[in-house]
Amino acid sequence: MAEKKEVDRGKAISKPKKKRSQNKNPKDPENPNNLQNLQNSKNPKNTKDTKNAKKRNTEHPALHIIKHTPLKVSYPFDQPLEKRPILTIKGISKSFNKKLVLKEVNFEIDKGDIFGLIGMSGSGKTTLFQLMAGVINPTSGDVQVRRDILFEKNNPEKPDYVSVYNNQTRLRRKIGYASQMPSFYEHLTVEENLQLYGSLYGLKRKKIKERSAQLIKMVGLQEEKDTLASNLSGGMQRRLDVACAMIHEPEILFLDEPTSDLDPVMRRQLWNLIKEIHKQGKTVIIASHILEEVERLCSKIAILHGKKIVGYGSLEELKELFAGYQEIRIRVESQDYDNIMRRLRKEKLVIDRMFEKEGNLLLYTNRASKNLSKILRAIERIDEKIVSLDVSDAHLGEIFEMLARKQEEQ
Amino acid sequence: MKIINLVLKNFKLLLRSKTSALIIFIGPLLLVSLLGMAFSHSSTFVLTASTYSPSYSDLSESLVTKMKNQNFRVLRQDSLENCISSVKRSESQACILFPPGMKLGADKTNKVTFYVDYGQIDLVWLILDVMEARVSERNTEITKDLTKDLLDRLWYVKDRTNTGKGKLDFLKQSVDEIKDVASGAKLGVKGIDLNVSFDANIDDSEKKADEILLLVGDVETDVQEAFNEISASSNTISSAASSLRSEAGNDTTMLENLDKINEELDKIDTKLSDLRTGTDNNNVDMTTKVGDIKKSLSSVKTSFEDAKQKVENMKKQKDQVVPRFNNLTTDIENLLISIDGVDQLLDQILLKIDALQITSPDKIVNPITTEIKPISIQRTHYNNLFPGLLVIIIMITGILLGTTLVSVEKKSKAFFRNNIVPTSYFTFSLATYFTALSALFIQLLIFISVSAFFFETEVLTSLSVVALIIFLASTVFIVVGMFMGFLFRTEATATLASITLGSLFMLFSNLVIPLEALSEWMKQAVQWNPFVIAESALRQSLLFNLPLAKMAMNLGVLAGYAVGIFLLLVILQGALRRLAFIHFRKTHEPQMVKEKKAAKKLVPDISKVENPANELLIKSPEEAEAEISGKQEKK
Repeated sequence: MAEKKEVDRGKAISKPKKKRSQNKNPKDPENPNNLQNLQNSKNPKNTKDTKNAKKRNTEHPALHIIKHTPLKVSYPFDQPLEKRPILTIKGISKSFNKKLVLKEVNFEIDKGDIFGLIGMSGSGKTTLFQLMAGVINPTSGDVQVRRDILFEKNNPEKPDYVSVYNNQTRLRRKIGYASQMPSFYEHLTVEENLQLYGSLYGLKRKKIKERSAQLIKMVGLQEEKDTLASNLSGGMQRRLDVACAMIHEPEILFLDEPTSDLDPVMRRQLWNLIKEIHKQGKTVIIASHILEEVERLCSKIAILHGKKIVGYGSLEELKELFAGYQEIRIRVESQDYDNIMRRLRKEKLVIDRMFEKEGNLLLYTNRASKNLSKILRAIERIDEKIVSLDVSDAHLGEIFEMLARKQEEQ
Repeated sequence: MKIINLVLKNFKLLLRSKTSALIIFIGPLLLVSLLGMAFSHSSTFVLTASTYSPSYSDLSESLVTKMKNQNFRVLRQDSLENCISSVKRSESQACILFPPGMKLGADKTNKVTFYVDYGQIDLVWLILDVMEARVSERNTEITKDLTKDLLDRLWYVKDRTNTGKGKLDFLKQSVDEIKDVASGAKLGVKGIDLNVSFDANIDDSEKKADEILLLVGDVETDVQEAFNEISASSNTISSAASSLRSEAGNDTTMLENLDKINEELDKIDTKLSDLRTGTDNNNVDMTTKVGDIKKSLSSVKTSFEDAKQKVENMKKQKDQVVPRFNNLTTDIENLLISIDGVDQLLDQILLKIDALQITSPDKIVNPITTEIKPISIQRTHYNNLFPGLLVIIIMITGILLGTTLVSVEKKSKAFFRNNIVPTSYFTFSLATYFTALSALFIQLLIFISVSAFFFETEVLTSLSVVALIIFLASTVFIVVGMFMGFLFRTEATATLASITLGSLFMLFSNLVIPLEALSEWMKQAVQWNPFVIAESALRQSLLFNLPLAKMAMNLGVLAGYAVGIFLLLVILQGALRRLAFIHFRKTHEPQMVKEKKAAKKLVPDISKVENPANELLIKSPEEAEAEISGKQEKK
């Protein structure tokens, strides 16, 4: 019988589906999907009724699910070690000068995953990354790595997981880290950097040469191998940084914002590189604020917001939380979206959010199919000419935003 | 292997920065060239002196001339104020005030005043010493001349005294002789026996002379009778012989004998005749002579009378002379005593003169001469300064290299990765140390080689000891520099701190201000200054060739510093590097965010346009709502 251990991770990773409220009257204040209710719920100046309604059942069903369903983490201890998570983060908290940055963060990373950690700028992604990599020590909690990753000979009498903070030297041989800012010597060439770090990782000369050549080819810097690192472009520098992190064939590769400040072409090149690394069987952990990147690459995602993990799971699992939640993108000729939004509010449709962005009106609702026609009619009534219309499923961004808002409400 | 790779990496970084490469390799060359050209001579300092006198005399002019001849620049000023202000303006090192009409005289005191700037503390004593020496030289010359004159007179006196003494001896001798003569004369006079008896019977003598005459006559008569008898006998014999002849016949023997008898009778006859003649003559002579005797006797008688008279007179004279001889003797004795006294005085004078141990004017004027002998084998200022220069290079380069290497690494982008590799902090620090040591070694090699080759600095005689001292000193300063690099967050601050520390080391050493000028407690403290210790050890080794055993204390302290500071660094470097890492994260991560935000403002992110949901992560929902409400309010 597998032991089940409940760990409060704040948000659900898997939960039983609950039936939605049967109240479908949008004007009914009891209807949790009532737009007004939803809007009022954001506004602290709302009436007591609204607040009470909020308390009762005015929140988004997905949010409700997340709030009330504790996350269950299972450690299938009867499974062999190789099949268990490679890295577990247990109740990690971190403060800097009494300022709390992370609070009781828990999640796991499986071997062979491309794991994405997303969060806003300044949310603590890098801090969490560095905690996971053992670069800095937590205020409380622990990060544990599977013993067989660090130790070649597995001792059945010893625990299966060891703390990264007690085995830093061994850990460093097994992880690669590419930080936000490329970290190498600018006045050394590409090859010299790789050779230096190869020697610092304790590789033999022959191995260093071999590995350098491999990596230079892999990251596509053959023509620049004798170029000083400072003379490389941003993308090349990033690739060199990744190569330096890979020189010693690490088991786990940490990539902190790998494609920030890169143009789309470079970004895609780096994504391909990451995929290639992953194909080699490495576990890749990416911290990013670029959701597209995470969506494309990551098999599992953790969402960091408000010092906590607000969402964790595969993209499908997360999306499932918001099934039916869609984005409607409308562009009108006049571009007078304020008028349209006023009009839509009057219609009292169930729209979670709407705002103008880059010449488009974006609306988020879990009733796109029902609301769409009403929305279009409302727009027509005010004599606006629709130029384009697009309906799509909720992106990770919306999921994130929803979760973030929920966290703030708590 | 890791250390070697790290050292090689550091060198590549150093050399790829052209300014660093220039400083490491060209710096010492430039330094040694400039210093060598400036100080590679042994001549004394050329100083400038301003002089002023209300009126220059021959003596003051001679002093000025002497200074000019001794490599001094002399500027004559027209007033004391100008003279002093020339020192204040650093146009000259001292102002010399000569008294008006300076000259030598029994009643004159000549005071020469020096106005110097004590601010030039490294030069002021030299200036005073040199200038006073120049003035004193002239003083000495004059004194020597006077002394020589005195001595010459003294020798003249001695010479004349010796001569006088000789004459005095002669005089003494003569007086002695006179004394002897006088004594003898006195004795002689006293001993003259004038008691002569003049009772000689001359008359009796005359009578006896007559008797002699009578006798002579009688003798003559007897002799004549004897002659006659002898002749008669001879004739008888001859007749007998003739008779015998006739009887002998043919007896030859008898004949011969008779011949012989005849010959002998002839001889007797001859002799007899001669005798007779002679006797006659003698008788005549005797008679004459007796007559003369009688005459003489009568003259003698007369003389006797005179002599008697004279003897009487002499007696009287003697009685008068003898007391005078007594007085004479006394006077002579007194004279001798006086002569002795003078002789003694002269002896004393000569003794005193001879007792003069120092007879050379030079030695009287300068009884104690000083000779300054260099105890080192070096010949030029550069070579004498060489130990100090070496330590300056070691200190400045060591501290700055240590600081720079650590600061540059802390600032470098690679610092983050260096903190997550499985290489200990100790390895990194050791590599930094070896890099700095190697670079310093290269600099020193260039410096020492050029010095040895071009400026003939003696280094090879004590190379092993020098190498040990250099190694220890380099270690101390490099590790101190590394400490500075770790302690301070920014490169500028660390460099400034290093320069300040280096300046302190140098200020409190013999190079700028003599340690003897410090207060006692400070002097004791400064003895522990590693710069002072290293410079002292190098000086002892390079200039004086002292063996290692004699420098054990200095080397021990240096080694203690090196080991102690290195251990401290090893112990603290973990904490220092962690602090540096925290600072690195603080400075770089927010920077990255700022840079990204700045970049976003300038260049729209196309990816965000593609996926507007990305904006959600930049703008919070409240921000979006606020934006909308803001727009609504505007409308």
